[in-house]
Amino acid sequence: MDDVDDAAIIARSSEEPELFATVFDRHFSQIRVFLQRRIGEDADDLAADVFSIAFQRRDRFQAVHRSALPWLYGIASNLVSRHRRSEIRTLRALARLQSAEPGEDESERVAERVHASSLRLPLFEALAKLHARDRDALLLVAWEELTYEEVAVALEIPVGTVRSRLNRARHLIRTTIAGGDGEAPPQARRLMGGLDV
Amino acid sequence: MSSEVKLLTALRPAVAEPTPETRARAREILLSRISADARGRRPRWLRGRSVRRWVVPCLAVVGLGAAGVGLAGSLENWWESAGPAVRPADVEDVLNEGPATGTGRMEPEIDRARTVARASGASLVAAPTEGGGYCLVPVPDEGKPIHTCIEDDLDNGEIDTWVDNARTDPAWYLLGRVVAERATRIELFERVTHPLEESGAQTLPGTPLEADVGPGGFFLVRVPRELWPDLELAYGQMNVLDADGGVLERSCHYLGATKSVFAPEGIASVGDPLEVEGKTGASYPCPETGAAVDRVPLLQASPRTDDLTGVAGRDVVTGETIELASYLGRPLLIGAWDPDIPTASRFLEALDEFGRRHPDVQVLSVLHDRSFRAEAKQGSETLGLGFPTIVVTQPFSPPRVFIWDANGHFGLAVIALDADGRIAAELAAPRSRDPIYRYGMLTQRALEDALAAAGG
Repeated sequence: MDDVDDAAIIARSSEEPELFATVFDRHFSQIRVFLQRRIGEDADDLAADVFSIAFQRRDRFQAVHRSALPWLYGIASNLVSRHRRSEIRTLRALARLQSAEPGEDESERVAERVHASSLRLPLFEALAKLHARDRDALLLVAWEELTYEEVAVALEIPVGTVRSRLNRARHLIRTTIAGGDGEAPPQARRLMGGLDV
Repeated sequence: MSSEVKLLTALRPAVAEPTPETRARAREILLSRISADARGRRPRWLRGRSVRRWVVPCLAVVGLGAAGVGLAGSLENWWESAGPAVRPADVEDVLNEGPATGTGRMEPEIDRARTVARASGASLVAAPTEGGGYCLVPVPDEGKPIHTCIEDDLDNGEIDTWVDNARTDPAWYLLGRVVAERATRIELFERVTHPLEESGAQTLPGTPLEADVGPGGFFLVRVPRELWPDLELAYGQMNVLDADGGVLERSCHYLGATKSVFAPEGIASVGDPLEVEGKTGASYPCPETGAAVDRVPLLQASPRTDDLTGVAGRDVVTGETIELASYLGRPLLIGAWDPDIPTASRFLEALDEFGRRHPDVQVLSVLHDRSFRAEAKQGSETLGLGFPTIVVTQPFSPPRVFIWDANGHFGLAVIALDADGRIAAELAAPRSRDPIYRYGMLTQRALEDALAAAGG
């Protein structure tokens, strides 16, 4: 079964429903991690919900996509949208986290991370202020490292809409970090000049 | 990759991989779902019941009266014939908070939000969604709007209730949408009944309320305070009228409570309407007062061999996790319910009474929808229940508990587990297409029988 793609498994699961468990085995960890980042404490429950819903709606999976992961991210994003308050609470908690202390091996990379941490508060506050649809697109790219095309599949929107949502989100973040004068602080300018991550 | 995205990636929260136990539990839930599917069960919530939950229920209202605005426009592209949204910034804010159906994205087209009805002290704003549905935003003249979005049952229209009990002058509104072609007015309520009670009003005093249907079939009606006693917890027959006063549709709706035991202070009780049978031209009058009293005792079903001991959930009051396995060794009665069910409070009271009369019997209640957690906590505390209520948040858990009828509708049920955790008896409402008969009337005698079957 390892060499069979998700699309084929989902197609076969209409006749052999138990095969759908293979989709769970392949993707549960990523979906659960995604939900933990987004809404915190209810992640376990929601991750289970994602696969139950996916099973229920498996006839709508478009077989042109070999991997079910973007589709599962889409279902998970929809569930997150039912828990906006939890998400906002999580983002604000993340904003208040203390910056990581650098260790003895203070490489340039660590220094960059420390600089990034100094922007944590305005960044997560900006995330909390984003329109939900823009935040969904942005975090699928930034945290889950989906391509624009995969985000389009996940959110069931055209790629052009993905780009416009990302542009809007990035603009708001840049404006927020820069503050009211439109001038980014030095660490932000440095990071935005090219952070090696 | 843009610099903002790089920055976000650098600050991506570190999250541990799921534990084997978490994974195993989630996998078991999926397998249970697969098993249930093989038996042809389709729980209703997956078809979008949760889309009707209200968000941010808080408002301030003043004044009395009832009025719609404008004439009914086309059911399609209704935003083209309606006026601009009142308080557009507040409307946009509240629409951006969600919710979604859980099975499909609901994206309100905020630019197309329009004021579609008006009543004393409030306006109704509607916005189409990208999926072909709509969002309703009741906007009080003062205070924060609330909203809900609907993308299923579009052919049947919608009616909800909205109450503010936090004010010194509470206000009760009825709002929604009718989808009958040629509809121009609605009549509320030619007939008011209490099918689950032995007595109660059969008609409203005086002339029924009427209201214009606004663009798109939307309406908003404020209920005069003097009518509240007759409408409280009643079923009301709504008539949809054409320009000549002819009745296009009749439908029957549960009107809920103006102050529910499940509603946090100042929050609306949301009526869960009986279904409108069919579409335009359908006729569904409310059942007579008392009609359902004798017909809906919870029925005892055959014992089954299902094992529920792996089920766990979070206590709505304490937040602690409770595992059914911890009840092994003695019989356990589990009540499955939902605050939207009209008889839910009496169901819980009956269960509580039984528990108090039999202190050696273990009693527990379960909810399936986590969005009801706050209401369940409120109800548990208000009613002073002596047993815990847990939210079993997985959608189909307890996986094999039958609380949906053949049409996928939700009802009330009690499951009696024996000392080994096996289902020894089940009390559930009759399978019926008529939703009122799903709500059941839990009797002490039925609980005695269930307990006896469980070896208690």
